[in-house]
Amino acid sequence: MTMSLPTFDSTVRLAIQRAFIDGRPTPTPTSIGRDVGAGVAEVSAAFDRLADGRVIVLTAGTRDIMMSAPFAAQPTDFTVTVAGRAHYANCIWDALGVAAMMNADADVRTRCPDCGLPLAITVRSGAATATPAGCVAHFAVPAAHWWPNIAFT
Amino acid sequence: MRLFRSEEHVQRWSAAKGIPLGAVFSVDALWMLARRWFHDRLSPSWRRRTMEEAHADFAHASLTGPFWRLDG
Repeated sequence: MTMSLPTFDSTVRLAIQRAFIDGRPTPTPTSIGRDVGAGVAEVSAAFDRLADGRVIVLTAGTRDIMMSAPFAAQPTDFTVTVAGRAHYANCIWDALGVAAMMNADADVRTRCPDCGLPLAITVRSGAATATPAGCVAHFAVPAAHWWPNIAFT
Repeated sequence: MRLFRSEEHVQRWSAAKGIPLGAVFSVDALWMLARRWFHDRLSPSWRRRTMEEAHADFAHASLTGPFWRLDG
């Protein structure tokens, strides 16, 4: 069973997501503190709790956000453009997750890992269409092992 | 969790990289899963799925079997 997040942690989580949606620099305890009107120490503690709860992924030993699903803080092979703004996602699931989370039309771009062919998924009015047709998703790691392999699934 | 040109490309990549084949499924199923999994992510009341809820989300996209068991 998972518990609801404490209100402050939920506020921090949403502020992190909003920063990614708005295309601002990767959020830090300082920037989120400004956004939510809280001190850096208080927000840092929330970052740690969110990381402990697997809500965000921090670079080991830091409070640098690596992932706040569905967003990736660093460039990846998965770009999602919504309303003219490009975002990076962690994987193809997350790439479509950006469109689903924002309930918006979106253009996903990636490449076939085998042949390098550019692949696209277009989301329009709640329907997703792959180009070329016949693309398939591949998840390499079984669900039980996703978290230990969070950077490679 | 990647997108491939076709299942044939997955198999070729898997063999070339020495990475065991995992689960291969359609973009339609992936989109169903993404919508189910992420639709509420901007809700203030969002929380991580329980294992049972996650299994239900996978099943909603017809993704079932040992690969999709979080307790496997």
